[in-house]
Amino acid sequence: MIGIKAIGSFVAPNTVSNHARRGQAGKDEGFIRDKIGFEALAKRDPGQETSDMCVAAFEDLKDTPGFDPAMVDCLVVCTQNPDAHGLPHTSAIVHGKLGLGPDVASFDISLGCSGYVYGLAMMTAFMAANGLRSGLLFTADPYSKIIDPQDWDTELLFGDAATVTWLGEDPVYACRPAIFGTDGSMGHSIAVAERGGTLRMLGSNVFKFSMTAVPEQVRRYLAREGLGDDDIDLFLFHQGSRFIVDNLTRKLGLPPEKVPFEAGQVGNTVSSSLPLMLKQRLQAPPPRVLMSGFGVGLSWATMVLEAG
Amino acid sequence: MISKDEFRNAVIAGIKAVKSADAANIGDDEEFSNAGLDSLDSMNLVLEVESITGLNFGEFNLSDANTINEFYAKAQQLSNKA
Repeated sequence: MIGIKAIGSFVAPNTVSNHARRGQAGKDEGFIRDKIGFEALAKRDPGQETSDMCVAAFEDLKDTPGFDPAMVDCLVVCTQNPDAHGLPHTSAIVHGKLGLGPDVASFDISLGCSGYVYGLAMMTAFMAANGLRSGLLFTADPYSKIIDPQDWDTELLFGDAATVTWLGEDPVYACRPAIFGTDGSMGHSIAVAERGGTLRMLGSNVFKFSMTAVPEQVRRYLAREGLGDDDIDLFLFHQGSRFIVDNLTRKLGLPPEKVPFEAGQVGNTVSSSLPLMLKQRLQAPPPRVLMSGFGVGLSWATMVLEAG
Repeated sequence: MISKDEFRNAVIAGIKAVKSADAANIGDDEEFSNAGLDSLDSMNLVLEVESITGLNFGEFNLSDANTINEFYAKAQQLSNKA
């Protein structure tokens, strides 16, 4: 069975303190620390492209025991902020920068915060159906490309990071079938209106969606899978903000110790937020992990991972 | 249509839930910030009031209606449309 074997990551090295500019933003210390939860944000170097961030994440993965770049036969990049204007696709650019051979399936998927769960579901199925054995799922969505620095509703939230998940046989985690949701009628809630434009986010819409559609899906999924809350060792929710994670925890009645918020020094890294957290657990994997990603689209997806 | 008293009770109950407080006092014309609500708490308050009253405020943002009176006016608009 194809599943998750290892994860590499790259968190942009430049740090912007939200406390240092909270006066400009009209926010107090408690709001930064306890509400949005992002005390600092990771920012890429100017000129560092999405593909460069993928390559940096690959550098973190490449020395994993058993991994051989020459064996990679599938490469997917999940991004909505590709190199240039997305032509050619960023996965092909990454393929070239890594110097991989020609017998590699490469394509991008356009999803935001639900992208990691979608990506896992797509790649495991695609690889199994086509006899592929060693896949790389990249997440890299540098919102610093599209943030208006004067818009404090978004400027305080997003950080730049990338991850790469190595997929293959004999995994650390196998993926249960996922569950998916879309509400395109609310797509304007997180959107860039025109090419070259900046991100606009309607926070109240996003929060309402996060507190209604997401817990409903999690409950429906657990029932479908015949699992109770006690059967799940760890709940990983997209790190949209501390406020969202805390309220989801309350809404679902989950023990807070099972629902981490770990993005306080990085920011909301979109599709990278779930694999960044999962990476920290691969050395001593909790037996069963539920992951739920939700955001742009609006789109949401939930999946349970089963260890070994 | 929900009465003003019912709506006020729902808002007070919502503020208590949002702030995890035993009591909440706010006048009909006082801004919600006087009850300790920030912009994120306000989003939560709308959901609490929806849950209590059964109203659906859709894409409404409470920053556009900063008091019980203004919030109730929005509720009345919704009722009139329904």
